[in-house]
Amino acid sequence: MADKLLEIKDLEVIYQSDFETVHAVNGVSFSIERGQTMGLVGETGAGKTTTSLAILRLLPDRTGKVLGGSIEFDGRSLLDLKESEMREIRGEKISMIFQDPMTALNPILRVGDQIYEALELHNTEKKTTEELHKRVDEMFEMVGIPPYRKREYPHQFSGGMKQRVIIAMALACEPELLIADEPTTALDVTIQAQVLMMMRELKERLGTAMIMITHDLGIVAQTCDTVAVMYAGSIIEYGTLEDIFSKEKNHHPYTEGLFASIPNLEEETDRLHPIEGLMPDPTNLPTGCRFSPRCPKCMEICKTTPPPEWEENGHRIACHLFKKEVQ
Amino acid sequence: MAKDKKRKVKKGGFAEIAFRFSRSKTAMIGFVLLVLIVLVAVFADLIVPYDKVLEQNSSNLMATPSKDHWFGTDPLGRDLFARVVHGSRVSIAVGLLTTIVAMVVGGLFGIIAAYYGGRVDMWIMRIVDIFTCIPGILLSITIVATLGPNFINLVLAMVVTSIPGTIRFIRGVVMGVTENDYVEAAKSYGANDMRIMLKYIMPNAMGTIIVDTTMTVAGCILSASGLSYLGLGIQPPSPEWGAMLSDTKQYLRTSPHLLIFPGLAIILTAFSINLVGDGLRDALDPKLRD
Repeated sequence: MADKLLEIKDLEVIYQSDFETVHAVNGVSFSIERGQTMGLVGETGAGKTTTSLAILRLLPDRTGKVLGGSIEFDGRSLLDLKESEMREIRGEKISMIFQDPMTALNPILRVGDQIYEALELHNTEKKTTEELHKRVDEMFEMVGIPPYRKREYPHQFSGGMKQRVIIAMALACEPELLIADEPTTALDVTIQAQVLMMMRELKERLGTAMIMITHDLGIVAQTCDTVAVMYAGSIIEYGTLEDIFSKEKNHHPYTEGLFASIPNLEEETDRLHPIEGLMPDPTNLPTGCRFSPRCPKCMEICKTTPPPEWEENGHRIACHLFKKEVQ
Repeated sequence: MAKDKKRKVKKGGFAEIAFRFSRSKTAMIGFVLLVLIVLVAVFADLIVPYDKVLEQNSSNLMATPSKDHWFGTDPLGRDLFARVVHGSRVSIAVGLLTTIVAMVVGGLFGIIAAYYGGRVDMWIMRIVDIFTCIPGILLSITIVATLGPNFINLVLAMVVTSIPGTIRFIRGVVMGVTENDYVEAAKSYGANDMRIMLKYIMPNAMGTIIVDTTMTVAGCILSASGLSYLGLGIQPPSPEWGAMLSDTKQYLRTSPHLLIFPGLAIILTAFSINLVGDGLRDALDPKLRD
């Protein structure tokens, strides 16, 4: 389709320390169109956050390294930009919502000032101080906080309110892409729903594209257009929301496992069905298919050869199972 | 420190901090005490003329406090009150100047080492290690002996010896603060290093640093006295609290007042600065504001 905002190809990221190399992201490719929301789903340690930090080039500089691949944003290759150019993109074009609202705000700055900061940094239109302050008020109203509270400090806000401030901060410069790294994990369920609803509304109003990182499939169902399922640093299944959630379609055994581990209201079961085993050690990934040691449908070939990609109308699955069917 | 204050003043928060500072009783006691001591130092000449500091009276040695000599006299028959009053000038100047210079320079290197890490950190810390290897007092003696004993060189010597510790301390504090998510969040919306250091790291590290700084002042007054004792600090007959202590310590049994008054002066100064520091830390911490 026409307007690709972000395109990632074969991204490979490692964390290198003196004694070991952690293969955090291994050949991830996906793209997002303007105004679209992609869900990035996977277990803890699957490389979701690392992927998003790589997009913003915020990997820890001593250990994190992008080995290969390309990240193209709006036609520019982010990996080749200078640090100063990158700073202009951060916040203005791409911004990020962090996982834990409790710690993502500077405790000694008034919340209004923190949003003001973000605006001031990207004040390309040379707006006056008053205009900027007016914008801060607007942002507060937009996320449903009465503007008079902008003179308060972060500790005077509850978790949900803090997350609203952070969302306001991320959206202040009207970025084209918003990366939300588990924006609701630290919140309780009622607030989760509020925040998600608000994010969806704002996204529609501002036309922002979004990467929603989460391990909650419920959130994905509510907010996303496309879904990428990550396992051990690779995307093992990618497709539209319908592709992934439809029971009739083909699925990667891992995706099936994810769905099987959610409680179902209609069926009566005594126990949930978690996926057996643990994520492989990223310093020592299994050869062949990385999911093979835990896969209930594992075949001989899975243990030796990396799986080919099966594709049908943009629905991609990396698994040996479907290769056969196509043949 | 200065930067931080300026920022608060600019945003009109200074009045608020002053108000909250004034609400704490202990902080106000410390503040009043400190103001009194500073006033004494500034107006020392009006309280007792400097002649009295030097005037010796061999018929009245080590006298106990009386109407003529409020704090008694020292082993040379000089008026102790006059010496304590005039000694405040040197002691406070040495203590404050050394601490401020050490904090500014040490703070700068400490924050750079902690924030940039890697090679920068390695080099700064190795140089710090070299300085730490040399015993502080020997280093001070060397510096003063080479450059000649006077006030400036005394301060210089003490600054040089206290900077390595300051760098180490501030580096530790800053490293802890840098871990916080809000620093990464600031990066994610495009703040540059300078802004992050000045607006995010420094103010958040300030509380701990202020308290440590206030402790250092008293330490500096005491180490200056050590150098004075060796004849490398303030030269006699100029009065200095630390030197007065060390000059008379052999009379502790017979005439304790010779040590009590200058000692009390040091303690009160250190105490008042500590109280002010504590109060300042609390006043600057938004979590305690309501």
